[in-house]
Amino acid sequence: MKMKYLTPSQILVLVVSGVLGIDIIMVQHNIVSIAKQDAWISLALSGLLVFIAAIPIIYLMLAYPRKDAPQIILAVAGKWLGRAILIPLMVFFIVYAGLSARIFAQVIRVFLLESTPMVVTVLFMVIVVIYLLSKGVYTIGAVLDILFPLYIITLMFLIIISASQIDPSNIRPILFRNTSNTVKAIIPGFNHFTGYAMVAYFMCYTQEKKPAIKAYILGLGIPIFFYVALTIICIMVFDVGSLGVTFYPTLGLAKSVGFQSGILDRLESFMATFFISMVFGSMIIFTYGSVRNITEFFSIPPKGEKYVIYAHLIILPIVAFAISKDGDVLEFYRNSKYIDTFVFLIFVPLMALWVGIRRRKGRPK
Amino acid sequence: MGGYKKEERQTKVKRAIHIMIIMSLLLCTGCWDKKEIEQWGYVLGIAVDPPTLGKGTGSKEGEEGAAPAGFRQMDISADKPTYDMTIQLPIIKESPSLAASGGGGGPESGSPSKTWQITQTGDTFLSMEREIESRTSLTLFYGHLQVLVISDSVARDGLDKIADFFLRHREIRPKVDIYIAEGSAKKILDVSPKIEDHSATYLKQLLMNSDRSSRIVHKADLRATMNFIRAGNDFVLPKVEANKEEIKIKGGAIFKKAKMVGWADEMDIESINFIRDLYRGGVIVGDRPGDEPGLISMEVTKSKGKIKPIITGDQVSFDIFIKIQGEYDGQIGFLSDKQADKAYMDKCEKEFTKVVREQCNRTIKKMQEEYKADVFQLNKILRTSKPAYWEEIKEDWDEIYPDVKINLDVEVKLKQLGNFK
Repeated sequence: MKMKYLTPSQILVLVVSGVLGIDIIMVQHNIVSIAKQDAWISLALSGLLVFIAAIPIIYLMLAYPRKDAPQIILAVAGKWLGRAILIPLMVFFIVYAGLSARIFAQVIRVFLLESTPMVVTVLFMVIVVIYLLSKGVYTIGAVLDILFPLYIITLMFLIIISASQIDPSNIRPILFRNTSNTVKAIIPGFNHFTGYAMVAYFMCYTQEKKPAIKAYILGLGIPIFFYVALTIICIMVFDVGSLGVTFYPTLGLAKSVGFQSGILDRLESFMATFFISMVFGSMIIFTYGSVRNITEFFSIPPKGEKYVIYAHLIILPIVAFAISKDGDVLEFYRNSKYIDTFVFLIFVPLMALWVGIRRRKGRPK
Repeated sequence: MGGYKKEERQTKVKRAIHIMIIMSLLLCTGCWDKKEIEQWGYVLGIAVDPPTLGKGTGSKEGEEGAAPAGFRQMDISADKPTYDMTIQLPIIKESPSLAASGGGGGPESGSPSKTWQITQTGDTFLSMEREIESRTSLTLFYGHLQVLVISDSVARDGLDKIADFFLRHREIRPKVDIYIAEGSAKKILDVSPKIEDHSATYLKQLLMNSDRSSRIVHKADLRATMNFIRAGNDFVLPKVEANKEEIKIKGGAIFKKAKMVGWADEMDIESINFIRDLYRGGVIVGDRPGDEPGLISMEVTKSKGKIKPIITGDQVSFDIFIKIQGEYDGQIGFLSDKQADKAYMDKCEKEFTKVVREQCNRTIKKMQEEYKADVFQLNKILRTSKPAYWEEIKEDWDEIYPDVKINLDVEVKLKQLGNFK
């Protein structure tokens, strides 16, 4: 029987989809609130930090080529410590996927469907995600492969057409008495790249590791480019004052573009196509991660994994509506990302170091 | 055998789950927002005026169009009403018969009106909007809103006081243009235009001609205006005047921070466009070179304005460079007679340079001395290019600006001659 593998291009797509998600519409507001007109520098530095943080992940993936993230954690940290590390990851992935669905519903209510109850939007999204998950990793890779060009082209289109509205002076002065704020915004900026480590859940399904690693590194560059470019454009179009009070600047940018031709008169509806597919992509990846974390944590046999998938049909909507106020949801979502950052910036490098030391001593596992 | 049965049972369960998932999708078709197109009231324009009715008085019966004052009055929570809000709705159902009867429209021309202007007096815009919905059979939709016309007395009170509703509204887009009307803003929407069907779309189209006429303020949308207000900049918005059938953009309203402080004439707007590098196209007229009477004109094809701050000790001054290119457009009062040689063109360039310089200097003086409004946004240039100096003087900028020295350097080049010498 011919074995199925994920291709390097699918790895690239999974990486980009995992990072972008709901954050693409909020990143400018959050970072400009801290670093003002230098927010783009903070995000560029956060991007650099992402590349550095990816090094131990790549090392561990190469050290354990046929294991995914939770299996690697359990193999390196052991049964008990490994499970202790998996707990915050399990919680975060469920929170991330659930709140992504909730924020998605909030945005859809503001920009598209005013009267549609949020519970319907959330359920719709969750059902489609669960259905795709039940089809397996290769189907996920194939579907995201199809969606990927759609949102990349749409984002490029938005950047290009917004160029006519920019006021370049809005971005100046650069780093004037604002260096400490710019540095302060690096970690919050890094939090928006949550998902950069999700490749560790899929790399074990690739045949050739070298091209897949190359695709991973290239894939990390794409969201960094879009975050920085969209932040620069938003600062130039809206100015810092307006960005500080706008929750979803990317969609605001789409609303600001003025066209005389009727077909593009309501560009924000068109932009929703990229936004919906992007949230869909990141939700699938994080829900898959959550399924894998739970399966490994409770040592559930492969046959039982489908029940874990179906359990998310209930878990995700519960998480999505656990917080009643929209503003609190955004704040909780922002703060929850520190869990992921903590695990992947602290524990994962330590695990890589531990594996390296063991290998040097000639006791590779 | 048992294994086969188990496998078959599992397949059946799997199929049932998939059917359940697909069936549940049918319940999620998102029809909550479904509304037939003819049930929507597409708001094309909004006018904001000071309140014409007092609380509970119900006076001035019939003053504003067909609606009695009692209809316009609503129960409010505040002590007194704050604004009159007028919305313009296109009468879509009547359109085919109107098209057959020809253009025009409005009570005066005898044909039925193509729009309905509904005025509501109230305390907040949202409550006025909902109150209007108790007077129409339509659900209001602001996604196609074209213009926002504001009365000068409301603007003098501060745009920041009314902006929130328009910014926060989920359907209103930031590209909606803002106009200031002297006196009633509603009368602008009441215009029955000759060519366009609706005064709001007619007004919106006027800004499109800013590449033909430099005397139009074209950076006037909601987004740009709010950026100016939030950044604490002074700015200008287009001033509109109207008769029964026509609307004209006639100069601009000068804003200091969010409050309107006066009017700029058309020449001032042209000068501001030159200086702020917002000039898109227009005509310059000067006297015929020499002693003979006559006028000469050029069409500007390219204009570049640049402002450079100069700091000497603790004093700041600004050098403004305006470089204009254009085409010799013609003359009035005399006929072409092989006079368009190099010497003649040099003289014309000098004349146009003089005209632009004098006009810009007059505007600069007016803005500095009369209105003390930094509509050239020199403060932004200082903030972005000399941030350290700006930090020192930003608190005193309002006192510094009226006396700040501004040097003007204008250069006009006639690049094309057209068809005649």
